[in-house]
Amino acid sequence: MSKYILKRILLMIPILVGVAILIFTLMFFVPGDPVEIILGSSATQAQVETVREQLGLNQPYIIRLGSFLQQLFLHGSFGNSYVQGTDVGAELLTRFPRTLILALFSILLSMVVGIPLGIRAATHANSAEDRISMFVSMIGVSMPNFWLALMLVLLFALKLGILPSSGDKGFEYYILPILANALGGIAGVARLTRSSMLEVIRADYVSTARAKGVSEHDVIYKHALPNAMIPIITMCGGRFGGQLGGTVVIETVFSIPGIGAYLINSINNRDYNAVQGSVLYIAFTFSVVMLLVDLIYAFIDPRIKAQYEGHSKKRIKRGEVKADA
Amino acid sequence: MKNITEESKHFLSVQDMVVQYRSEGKVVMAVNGVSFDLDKGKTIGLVGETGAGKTSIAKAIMRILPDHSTYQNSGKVMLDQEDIMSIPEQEMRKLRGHKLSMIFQDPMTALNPVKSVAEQIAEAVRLHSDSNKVQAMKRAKDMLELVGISADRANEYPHQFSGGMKQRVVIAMALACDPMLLIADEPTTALDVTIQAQVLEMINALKEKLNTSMIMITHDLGVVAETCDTVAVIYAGQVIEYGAKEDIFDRPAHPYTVGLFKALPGMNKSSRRLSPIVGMPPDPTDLPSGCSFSPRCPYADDACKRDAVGMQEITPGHTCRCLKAPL
Amino acid sequence: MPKEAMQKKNKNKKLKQMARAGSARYVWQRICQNPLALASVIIISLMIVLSIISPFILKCEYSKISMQDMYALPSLAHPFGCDELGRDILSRILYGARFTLAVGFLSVFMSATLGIALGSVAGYFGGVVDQVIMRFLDVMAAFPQLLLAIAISAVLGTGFDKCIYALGIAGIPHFARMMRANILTLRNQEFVEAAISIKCSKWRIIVHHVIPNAFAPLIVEISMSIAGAGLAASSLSFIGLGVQPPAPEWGAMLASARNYIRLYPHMIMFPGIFIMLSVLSFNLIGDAIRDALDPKLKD
Repeated sequence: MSKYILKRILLMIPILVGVAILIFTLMFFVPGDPVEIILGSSATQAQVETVREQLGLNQPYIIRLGSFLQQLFLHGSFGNSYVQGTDVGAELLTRFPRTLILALFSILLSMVVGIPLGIRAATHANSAEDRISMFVSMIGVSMPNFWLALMLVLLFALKLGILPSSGDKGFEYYILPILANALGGIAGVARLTRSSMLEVIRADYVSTARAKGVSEHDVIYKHALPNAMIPIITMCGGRFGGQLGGTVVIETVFSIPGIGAYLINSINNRDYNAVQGSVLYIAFTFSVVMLLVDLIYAFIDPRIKAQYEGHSKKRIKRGEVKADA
Repeated sequence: MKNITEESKHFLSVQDMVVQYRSEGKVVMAVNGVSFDLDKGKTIGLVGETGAGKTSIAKAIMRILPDHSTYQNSGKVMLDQEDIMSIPEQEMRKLRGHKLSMIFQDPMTALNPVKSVAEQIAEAVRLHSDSNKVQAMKRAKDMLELVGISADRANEYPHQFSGGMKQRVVIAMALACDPMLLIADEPTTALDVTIQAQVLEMINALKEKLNTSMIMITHDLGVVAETCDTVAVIYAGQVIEYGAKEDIFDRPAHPYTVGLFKALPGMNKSSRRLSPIVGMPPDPTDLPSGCSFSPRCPYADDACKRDAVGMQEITPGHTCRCLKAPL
Repeated sequence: MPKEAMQKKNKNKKLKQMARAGSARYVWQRICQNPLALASVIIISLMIVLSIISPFILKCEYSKISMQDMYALPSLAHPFGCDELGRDILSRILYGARFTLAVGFLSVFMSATLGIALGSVAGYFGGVVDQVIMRFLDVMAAFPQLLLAIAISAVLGTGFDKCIYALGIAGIPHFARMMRANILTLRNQEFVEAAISIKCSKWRIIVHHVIPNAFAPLIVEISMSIAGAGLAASSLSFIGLGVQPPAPEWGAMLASARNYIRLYPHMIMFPGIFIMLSVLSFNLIGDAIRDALDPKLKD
């Protein structure tokens, strides 16, 4: 297993390099001169030339790419912000905890509420309760989260006045953002859990479990659910990975200085080094989370695990030969 | 009073079982009034084509019909003097896997892919005895050895076993709690011919050893010949012929049973061609009136198509649902 | 007896009228049987029609600024009220439907065509071509989809067409991977082997066996993606990257209305409801199509 984890981490390196090259290339073609952004339009030609020289902007694409990759992978540096002149990496690091709180609680809430709802719908499939809850969750999936956020602000902050509408001065400031973020997640997880469970619940091994005398509760939670978890974990992992990179829209609405807000500010300020750094950072965290999701699969499903462990692979093959003989 | 004494003669007595499903707005009449008896230590074969309702009978006895699509399920199942159709679900759950257990048709899908085989056997053991985890695992390993799987492989997962091995695991699981009644639903259909014989032999041997009664569900008359004492031929959800194995094999009375034997390739038969039963089994959502075999029956006349046909005694203990019988 | 025979005949007729499973007519029949899906089709059609004809039938032009109607609350003259420049919100919303719907359709069309092409090439040719395409897609899949769209928008700039490109490109990996996986599984299916064994021509196998089987999941995926793309389009516009004001794109309308949430909440209410309604409709239609094409999920 540890061999497999190592292999997966090694396989991730070329992808991360690819991501870096892609982003660097994209940013290379952004119209507009970064020096102009740094110095403002009033700078003299001589000043512009000196800064160009300093930043190495006179070099051809391939050399700049090389030094960028060297900086990134050997020194772990995302470079400096054009506008503020600060280190992009350090800025992202200070913002990370806020984004983490938002992402972590949103995904936990989505799973804790969504999975039981989906299971209940699946075990009562086609009942009135199921139909209503699936329609409501479809509305939840279709609701733009920024609009939901505004509606929550309107109700809880402006009308009732029980929760703050923006900022990040304490945990109560995160309640509305987490809710706005999680409701869509709850709805999505519930729908996926339902369809995944419906597929599994008709499997023969579920009948086998019933025939053994397993209680209905254990049939659902111990026999069916683990087999239905793979797509659910994929979805939650994807959501969590995406949100770790900043819930761009939510952070904007609630003025939470997280990573998503930084990205949007940088785009608006045409601070392309900061854009490049934050996009890279987000892609990296996303990749790491997706890797973790893959590893979780292996713990849940021995068939997936077997694909990664050499010796049992041979054994499966042997088994297949036997079955075919 | 008379009824009770009559019932008590048999270890298992199924009476007037009806199972109907609902599917896309239509009612599927899967089982239409099936009755049969089974004595302790004996084996009854339920023989019939795919879709005749055999598996529904088995699942109805186990009371594991799917909730969401089952429309109606009625009848009486007396097991050891107790009507298991009317006891509460909680009581029934204690019987399942303990007093009566079931082997499923397709070993490839009958085992939970995310649990080790020993875990799955041990689960049944723990549910029906007060043994602890260690004892249950010990029992599971013993059962695996009993069905010819080395205990070293106990912690492996279903995907690491071949089809025949999986079926052995399923059998070990079904027998782990010494059931009094074993329902084997086409236990060998999904297996290779060479493995089939091994598995059948093993089921027979274990059954003898544990003195278990068995319902053998199959479409294979060869399997019936090897394992059964009595036979019920099922067609369109009804028993159409019922009797001792010898009666059915030597003196088949119903045109369908006769057709089944004619369709069987034999080593010593001189005829070159097999004679198939013409036509298809009836649509269970739209059964024909009268005898449900009449559309395919070479002997059928208007009387056959008019009213439902009852069971008629041919010889004592050998009954048949045909106006023309014995042919 | 004759009555029974008649009933049977009618039943047969009914069965015949039901089109072959999987055909376009069959899908349409299934949608018509599902009241929610049918309502959704009607809502989307209404939105398209109203978006086109509303400038001609409504008294208030969507872009007409009127100082005395600034922040007007909903009334008979302005059913949804007016915005900060006194523009009628109803006409703006109806006119603006074209942005959300067009971005939804066109960006998914773009990701689907390019993705299917890439995926088919990768799956069909295999080898080095497959490796190169897949590694490139791996890199693209390292981004959450909305982030990729944001990054591309940052490079391309803002506007209606840029928004389509950004979302269209961001959706490519998903379709390509799916198509490739489809082709790979289909290539090894027994019915394809069976077709080869009876000497079907390669062309015939592709047209009659592979494409129809790869198609159903793609149609399902496309119909589901339109809802997501519409939602993403309004998100992009909301954060100031997609369609720009003064164009009455719903997300952009919400972005400017946000500043007046305290005093004039009606300005944020209606555009949001319309985003939700259109996305919900696309989702319900997608669901109905999936139910019709994917027998596995049927009850």
